[in-house]
Amino acid sequence: MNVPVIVSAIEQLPRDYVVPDELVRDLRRADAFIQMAVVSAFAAVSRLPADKLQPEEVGVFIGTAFGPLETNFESLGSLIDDGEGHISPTLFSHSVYNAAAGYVARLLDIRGPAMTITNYGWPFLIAMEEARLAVASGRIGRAVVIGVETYSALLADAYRRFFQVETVPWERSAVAWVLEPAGAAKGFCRLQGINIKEFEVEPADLLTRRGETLTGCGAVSELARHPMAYVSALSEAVMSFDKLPQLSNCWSIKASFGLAEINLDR
Amino acid sequence: MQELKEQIKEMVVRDLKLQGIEPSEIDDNAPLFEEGLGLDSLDAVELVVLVQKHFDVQIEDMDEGQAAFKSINTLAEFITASRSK
Amino acid sequence: MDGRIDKGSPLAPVAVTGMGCMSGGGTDVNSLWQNLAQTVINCHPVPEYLFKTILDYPVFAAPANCFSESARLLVAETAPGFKQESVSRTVLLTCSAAAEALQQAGVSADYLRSVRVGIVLGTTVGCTFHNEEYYSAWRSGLEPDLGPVQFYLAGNVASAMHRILGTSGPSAVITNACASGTDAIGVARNWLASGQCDIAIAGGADELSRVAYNGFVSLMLGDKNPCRPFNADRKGLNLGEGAGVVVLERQDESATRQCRPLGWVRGYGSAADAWHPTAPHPEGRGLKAALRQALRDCGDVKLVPALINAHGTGTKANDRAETAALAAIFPKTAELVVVSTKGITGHTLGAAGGIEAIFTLMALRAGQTPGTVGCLEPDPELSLLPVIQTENRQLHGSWGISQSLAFGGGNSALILEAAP
Repeated sequence: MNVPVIVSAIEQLPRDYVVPDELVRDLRRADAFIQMAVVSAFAAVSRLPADKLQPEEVGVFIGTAFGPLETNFESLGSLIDDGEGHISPTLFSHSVYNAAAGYVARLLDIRGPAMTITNYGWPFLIAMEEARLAVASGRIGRAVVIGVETYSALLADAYRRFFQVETVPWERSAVAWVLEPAGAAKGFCRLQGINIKEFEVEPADLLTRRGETLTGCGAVSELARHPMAYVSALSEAVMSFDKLPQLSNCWSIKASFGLAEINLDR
Repeated sequence: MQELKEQIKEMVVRDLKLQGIEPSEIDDNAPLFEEGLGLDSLDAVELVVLVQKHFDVQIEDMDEGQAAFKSINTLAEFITASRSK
Repeated sequence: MDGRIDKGSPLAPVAVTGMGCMSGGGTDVNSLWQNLAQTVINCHPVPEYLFKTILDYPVFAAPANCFSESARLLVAETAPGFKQESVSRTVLLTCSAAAEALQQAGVSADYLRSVRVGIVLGTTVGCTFHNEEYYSAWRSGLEPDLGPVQFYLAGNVASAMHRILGTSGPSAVITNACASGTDAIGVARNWLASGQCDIAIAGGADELSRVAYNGFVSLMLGDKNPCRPFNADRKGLNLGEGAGVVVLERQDESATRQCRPLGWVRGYGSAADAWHPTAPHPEGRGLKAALRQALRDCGDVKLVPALINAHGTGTKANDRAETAALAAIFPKTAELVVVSTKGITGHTLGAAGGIEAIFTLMALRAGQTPGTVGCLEPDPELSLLPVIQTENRQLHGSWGISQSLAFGGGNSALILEAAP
């Protein structure tokens, strides 16, 4: 089976997002990473019309470069301050990289695959392709794909020292896309496939993302130097897809660390 | 004892990040788990660490924990008894 | 298998052509298998070469030098000048397992460079930043040397393997906690079947870390004695470390190489419990869904597996939920052959799925399985009777299941077939 897959909803979490009342209690222990993943997914799915999908027919796929790194450090701090045997079990369990996927699954009652992919390059695209394959093969009827970064103070400080700069171009953000089979839903565009090649680079290049560009519709645009820039740029492009001149359906992202091609169609 | 109970309630609300409830609103006898305050198994192991940290009392395993964590009253009694050992 | 209704998996067959392991349970696949067969339990206090601790929960540690001779030989060819200290222990464990697997597959470094290599590895600890010295110094306002940050950025285990092997192609690190290794093999299978790569290196790797060690102690999931999966008096798990890696190749007209299969990945399923941050659903809801998915995927929903390598960590909740799910999915529960191999490896977190897929294929190929090390008096409250330590069970059939359950409620299952 090879079902055409469409992008049926996109949510770019606003900077001043509010946690919906019905989620507040369930997110009491959640860190920003989990909270933003959950709220963006919740908002994206809320945009869809009512459906008859079973919980098992929906999957969640998260791509992140730095994961819940701040909570990772908090649990390290808890170990150092509170001593051995007294690390906070809540902090530790929430520092595990799939904690957010677990929360999204639980709070949106998603009982299909729950996958977290951690890569410095384009984790959102890797997660997206895995999600697309799952929908295209008929294994699931809907995939919620989330890109989320919350960074960490330690890493931001390292960035400043690496590059002798005052400000770090990072801001916490989350984006959620919904993929569905073309027949079942309306959407922005079809997602035909994603191909990614990685090149070997100096570790510092993964922090700066120097020279990362998005090419599509005959135009090349330089991306802001943070690991969610390509996610935002691609989201904008897809949301206005029907207004763009139909020059080429192949979009590509280039950076010192690799090349990604995203094939879209009307 | 009353002071200890208040300390426990404050710890529970603050460190387990309970929403929409003040320490003073917790009933001394109300169950902490499930239908009571709605705590779960992760809160239970967190409580073990918290009780050790704030009251210097060790809870060896969850059998002991389950008995101690029934309510604010049982936890206060457990801490008092352990301290006088 | 007579009577099989083969609906035909929509995916091209994906063969397992090599297997490799480096772990506390054995430093290669053969020693791992022998240690299981002879009940050699390498469970000891945390060795000083890993980290110092005052806690007395034993672990299954890999040797101090976990970079094998075959890894050294391979890397000398693919990455001359490679320095072991430039990568994490998790990457070194992976190198050793990958070198063994590639050698068994008969894949040369030259061949690897001529094709698209997919590298998919699961890890839990391997993607975190756990340099305590750097963190402490930074926290107290100092400006420590940035080496550890560079080390962290260079440490994505899948990218690191591409770099070390000099290969190109897609890569992904799967961070699905304790199910990561199983999911990594499933994802690699999908990539091969859909043509994203020509050959794949897949599995999982995790080194022991002081944070995870303490985390499991705080969660009250550890046992101060060697773990006893499925046993009536089981107390919890022991952590372990290691890597388990398989080489996967497409086996149809599109394959770039004639390969000698050791077996095949026939099905993969993954599903969330949607239940609790750390505890499994009591009836194994997500595991049941993952198993159903894997059975549909393999084209035979009525499959009765000859062997099930369970997650079987030895915690009360895991073993109960897991056996409940198996009993619900397979109606002839009494016929099921269920083992846990955690008594030989400990719980290697992200590596577990990789190592256990190898155990599963080894047993299916041997036509027999040693019992569950640590299980002498099975818990009568479990929904099925696992194979106990003193038993050696003959297997009837060549199809088996390796399954994993994770924090966050992730569950995944692989259906594997052994080649004759």
